[in-house]
Amino acid sequence: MNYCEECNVYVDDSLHHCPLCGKVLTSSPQPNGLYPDVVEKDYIDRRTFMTDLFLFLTFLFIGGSVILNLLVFNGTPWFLLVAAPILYVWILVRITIISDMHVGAKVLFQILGVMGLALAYDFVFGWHGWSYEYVLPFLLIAAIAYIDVYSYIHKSQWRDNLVYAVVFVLLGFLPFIFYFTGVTHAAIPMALCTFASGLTILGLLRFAVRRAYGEIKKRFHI
Amino acid sequence: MPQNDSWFKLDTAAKIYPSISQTHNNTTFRLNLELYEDVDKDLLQQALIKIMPRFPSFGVTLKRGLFWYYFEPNNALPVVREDNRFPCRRLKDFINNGFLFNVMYYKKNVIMECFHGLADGAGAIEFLKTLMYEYFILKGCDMDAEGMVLAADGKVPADELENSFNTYYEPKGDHLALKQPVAYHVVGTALSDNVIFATHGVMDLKEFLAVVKKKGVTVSAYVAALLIYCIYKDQGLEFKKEKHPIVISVPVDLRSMFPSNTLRNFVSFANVGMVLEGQVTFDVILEEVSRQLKEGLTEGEIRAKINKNVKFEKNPFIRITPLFVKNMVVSNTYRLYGEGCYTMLLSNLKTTQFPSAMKKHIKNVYYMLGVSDLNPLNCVVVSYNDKMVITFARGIEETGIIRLFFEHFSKEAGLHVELRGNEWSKTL
Repeated sequence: MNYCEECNVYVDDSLHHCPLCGKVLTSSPQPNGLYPDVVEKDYIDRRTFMTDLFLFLTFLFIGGSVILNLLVFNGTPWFLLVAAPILYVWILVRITIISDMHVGAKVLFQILGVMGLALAYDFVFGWHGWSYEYVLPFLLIAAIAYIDVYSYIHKSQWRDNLVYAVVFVLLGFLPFIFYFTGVTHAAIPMALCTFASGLTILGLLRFAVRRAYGEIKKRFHI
Repeated sequence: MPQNDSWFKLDTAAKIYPSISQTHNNTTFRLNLELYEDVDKDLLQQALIKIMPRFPSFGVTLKRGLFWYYFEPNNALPVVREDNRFPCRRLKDFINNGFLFNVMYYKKNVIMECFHGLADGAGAIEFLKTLMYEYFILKGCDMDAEGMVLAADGKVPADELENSFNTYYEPKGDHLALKQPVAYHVVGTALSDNVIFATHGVMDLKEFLAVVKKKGVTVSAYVAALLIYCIYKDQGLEFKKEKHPIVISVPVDLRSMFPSNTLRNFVSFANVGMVLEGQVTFDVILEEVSRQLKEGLTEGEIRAKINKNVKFEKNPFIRITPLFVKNMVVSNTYRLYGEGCYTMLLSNLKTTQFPSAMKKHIKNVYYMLGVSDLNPLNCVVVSYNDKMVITFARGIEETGIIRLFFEHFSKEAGLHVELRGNEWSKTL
């Protein structure tokens, strides 16, 4: 025990300074028996700097292309071709790769990202409608198939799987609605997507109804 | 095995913690038992796995519903880790396989850090006691529970899992107003995020009690009054016209007042404080605080507080508000209604009781609470054997209040004060 004359207290050998007045008590402290060593340098968060840098670059490229696009406007909003991939990469890195969200949520963000990308490119290259005619149904088929397989393999996560399966099944009927309201005209992708949704509903009815009731009661308790 | 569908609602006190811990608040508390020998990690892990089925309210993970958070049974296993950072990490930084508590070891210390939404200090101590009991048995020590430790292979009584606030709620009883006066807040230079410094002052229990007894008050009243006095001196309030009162919030374990066995939260708070300007002596503060504390601890007052909280939670408009709206509102209003109403938290855990067979292996106990942005200092008082341990957790650079506090004992009362704690091992 070192003694601090200023404060009249005995201080553990492991501390350089008196914790009360900050006076230096020893230059060669003993190892601390209560708390692990903490080095101040480790607490400067490098990730924040990288995030700031990439945010800045994002604004630079998107903002720059918007301004260039406006200054020499030739009738096509080509800045979308720059902005959409950059934003998609943000989703890919921050959500799909880094975050620890449930797989279902990651897939949901991927649907939004890929769909946004497809819509942007479709719009710039003449708006032929291939994005919602073909990309949307096949994307949803892939998502439904993925969550079905994932649920089968990762049974212990059935609660979250169930929620996302229901979400994707509902989304899976979008092409069906679009087709019969006359928005889209391609029948085969629509039929396949609706079929995938229908099949998953049968699966849910067979395996998950009883569980789903308890799940709804819990998630919506007030 | 707990049933698969046995999920829990958060208890009344816990409901607020997930919302506030996301932003500027640290809702973690830390129990540290210092042993005489180095901790055996593998045995601690075995003991932890053995006792988990006995404590279903700890074996949960936090989930978001549409209207409220809820606890869901967690089928994973909690992992024992070596402590390697600052104490009282925030929930999002320590989450352990989904569990909301973290059992760690460091040299001779067994450490449990726990999210306050899960349990209060008294509940977590029961868990830790059983854990250590099993650990000592695995180590091959002779153990005798003396009826003070919950048996790891015992049955789980339902009343350990109840929300006792609901049990003792009287819908027609008196209830306090939600709005309390806004308190003074300690001014200081904030430390970086996740940095908390702990200062433990260890004194002789008998000498300490002699100082307190001289004034004829309780330990809580004495320490609370001293804290108010130190804040008042350190922050220079004698020269300012400060209209906000300095308020010390003292958590009260309601198990001593109501016959509850719950291991979840069952605490209420007695707020004591006064507006200080001009010259005020310590004795004046002590008298006032002692009187207020006695009033605040009457059963009527406590019941009114429980009724207030439960009534608020049962309000139909609040119940049907979606969770994300609740979170936004709570994280902004808690500064006004919750921690805005007090300056500092003083937790008096009184004496820690262990069976004498366990006491032989435990050298000392160090308990600690996380700090928040608004109230960057708090104090925990606990005694063990013949030692009094007073712990300050600090989220600001300045140590003035803590210095005045310990100098009161070391200089004025002439006590032998030993300080332990953490500091930067290497600065920039």
